Amino acid sequence: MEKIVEILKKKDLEGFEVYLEETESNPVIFEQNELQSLEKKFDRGVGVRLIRNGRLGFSSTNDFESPDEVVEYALESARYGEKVNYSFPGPSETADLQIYSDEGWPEKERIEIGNRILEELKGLARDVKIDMELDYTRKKATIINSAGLQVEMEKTFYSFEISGFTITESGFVWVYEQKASLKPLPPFDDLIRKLLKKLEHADRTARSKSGELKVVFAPQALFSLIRPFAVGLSGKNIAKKISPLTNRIGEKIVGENITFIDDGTIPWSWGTRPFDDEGIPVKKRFLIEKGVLRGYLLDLNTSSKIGMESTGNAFRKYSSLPSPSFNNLLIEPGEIPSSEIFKDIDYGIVVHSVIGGGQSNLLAGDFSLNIGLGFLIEKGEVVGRVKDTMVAGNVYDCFNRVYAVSRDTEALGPYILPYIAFEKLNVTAKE
Amino acid sequence: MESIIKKALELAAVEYLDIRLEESTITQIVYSGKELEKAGTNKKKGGSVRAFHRGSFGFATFNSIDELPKAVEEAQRLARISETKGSGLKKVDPVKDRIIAVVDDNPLEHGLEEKVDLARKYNEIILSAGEKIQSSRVLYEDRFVKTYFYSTEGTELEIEKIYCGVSFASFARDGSNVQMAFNSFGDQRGFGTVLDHETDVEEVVKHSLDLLKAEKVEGGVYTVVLDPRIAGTFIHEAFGHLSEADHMARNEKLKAIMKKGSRFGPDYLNVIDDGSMIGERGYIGYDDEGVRARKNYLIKDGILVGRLHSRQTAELMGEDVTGNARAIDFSFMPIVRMTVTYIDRGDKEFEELLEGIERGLYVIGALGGQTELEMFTFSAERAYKIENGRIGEMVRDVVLSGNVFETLKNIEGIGKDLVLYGGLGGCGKRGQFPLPVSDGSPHIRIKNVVIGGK
Repeated sequence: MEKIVEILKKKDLEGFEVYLEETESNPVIFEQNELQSLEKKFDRGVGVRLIRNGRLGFSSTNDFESPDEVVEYALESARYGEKVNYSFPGPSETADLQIYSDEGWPEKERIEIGNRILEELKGLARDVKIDMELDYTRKKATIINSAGLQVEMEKTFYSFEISGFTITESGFVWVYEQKASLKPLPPFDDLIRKLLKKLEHADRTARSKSGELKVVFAPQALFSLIRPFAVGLSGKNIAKKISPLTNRIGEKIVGENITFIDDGTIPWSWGTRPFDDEGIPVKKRFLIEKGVLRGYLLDLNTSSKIGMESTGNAFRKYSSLPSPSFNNLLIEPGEIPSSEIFKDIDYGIVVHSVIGGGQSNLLAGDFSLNIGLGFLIEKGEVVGRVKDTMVAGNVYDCFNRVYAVSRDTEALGPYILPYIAFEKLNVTAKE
Repeated sequence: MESIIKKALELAAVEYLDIRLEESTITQIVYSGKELEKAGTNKKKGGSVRAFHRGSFGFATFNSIDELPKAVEEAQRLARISETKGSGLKKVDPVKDRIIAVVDDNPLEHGLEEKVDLARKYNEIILSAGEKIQSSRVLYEDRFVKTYFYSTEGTELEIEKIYCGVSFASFARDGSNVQMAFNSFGDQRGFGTVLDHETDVEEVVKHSLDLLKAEKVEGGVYTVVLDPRIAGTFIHEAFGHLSEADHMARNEKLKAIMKKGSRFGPDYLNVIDDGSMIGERGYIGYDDEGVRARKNYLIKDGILVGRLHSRQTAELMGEDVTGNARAIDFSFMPIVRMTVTYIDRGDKEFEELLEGIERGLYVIGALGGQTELEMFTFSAERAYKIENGRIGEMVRDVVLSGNVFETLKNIEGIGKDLVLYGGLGGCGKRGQFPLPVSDGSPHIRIKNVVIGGK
């Protein structure tokens, strides 16, 4: 890395940045009730960004034997590169955040956990095939730039994912749970209980009416409704003026009970970090406050195009240019527990997973989703699983008609999401 | 190189071990609106060691070849940690082969400037199409990949691949209504694949503008005629993934459902996966376990006759290997994947497919698809109403869903016009995305398809 910096210093440039990333991941993988593989994956690479004659050049490599080559490729790229009017940031004060715990997670311990869960599930009547991934990853990123910035960040990632597959009267059933943190994870008993509950509810099929129905999105499914917002809030689409949220800061865009917060400072949360991948300090910011648009997701490039400051939302790998995204997205929870929301439903559907998220016109905010796992609720009770049923709408429209947001939330990686209940969504079921 | 690998193989003391070394050079050019967002070349090199012992794998990756001996030890350590005992790997004959990429016109011999000019030319066609065109996205990509694969069984392979492609999207806007149309071309035939698409770009622009005026589709159950592109996505999602044996190898219930000889569709339905079609984006020659690719019938005359295997799943199910274990690059373990998947040609003219449809949709272009094996969803770029056998006005936001056990049987006709598509995207599975695949089909007609909407 030092060599690359030395070479860059000798070139006639308006600015440069070297981003070094080192990742070591170590997943233990179970497939269909058996240990499938243990892996140790190591990757170390560098991305070089430079500005020459007002144009951006970029290249990356993981071959550290030829530092000249990556600089030459970056210079060649700058001959054609995007015209930019930002400069790399100098050093600034950053918070001391909880993002690193090198306690580790021994492979043997993870195999034991996996085997114990399989043993537990074997005792139950259902014939369920379980896939699991238990991972421990360490990542170190170093940024050096021509403005004197030289920072280093080390994070540890602990994650557990489990999916169960079974074939019942209601057809193929998939259930999924996960837990992820930057510090070692607590036991998974509650997750397994949730998984089993879903399996139990999926035993019977129910036929839903078509038409406008009450629909509750559970956190795992809600993710698909967040995607249009992620696209709409992205500085890239704001700068291109193709986002429907362009020039609308301060305007009410959804209902008053909706608040989106981008908070990269939550202790041990997946997306927490003192600074972003360009070295800009990360803060807690409102994106939508009580229905009113407060800000966008910006990095250096997109913020410069719309005359704003970077919000510290740059994400990248060494092999790619930065692009803005959420640090941690928190949808502010409401007052009532999700269990009460269900109890109050006379006729409606609760959606736990969907098939086909992200395939609609995301820019426009549209969604049209096939319900993967969802239950029909009548008079507060789960009747059975709905199948061959689609739910469609537009987020900028239906987030105006949210009648309840749950108090309980679920952390799905960097997304901390409640249950959200919509008054009326279009449901199409096969007759 | 060869001697270093062979020396490392001598360290092997497990049932089976293979070593993969890979070097890739990728050139990408991205126009996003007026801006040239990216133009340049990235290099990546590295390798991995996969060890197999008592039914489970140990896998270790590395960047520099100096770390190979250490990775061999690490992969073996990981493979030995587990004390369970599982089944082995299907026996295959060792092969020694060298495949050099043969392209008509090697994209690597063209300079960055020429590629930038080409992308700019397509981009300008979009941006100069009037004030309703809000933005554009044009992507050029070529990728050279060289892989060495050696195993303790004596397989020695050296394989080169050259991918090249272009994609273009047009964003039209009218007030808050933003619509996108898209097309892409990509395969392993060389630089010619990306040339002379001016007319295709103009069509994309026109479709994005037409979509501004189109109504949203009305939700309901329809008879649909799918164009070859979305029919290819349909067969990939609806049936291709279900054919991947890793889902069923240890699942007796699913095995029973997927019993060979079961009827899955009408007599005239034939579905094939074939990784040996030179030049197609999904062409592999050999899979990432060193098994030669071949033409595999999945459905023949409407009857289930085959599936896709890795060596492990073939052994577990007592069937032959098919050459379908693939990894997106050296840093991933090979898993069961598709290559070039298609519905074979039938005997219907396009007009015959439309006949007798009172209320239906002619569905065109694919934006994506997803499956949970039984239920699946795929979405179209645009569609036209069919009323009394005639094609009518355009509608948008068409997302189709189905149920594999019903939808394949609901196929009512297959055209003669088979087309295969590659493009620049790919398939995703277990975190490995995008894997280069092709899919295709003739025009097909299906009844009782659920479409979401108002």
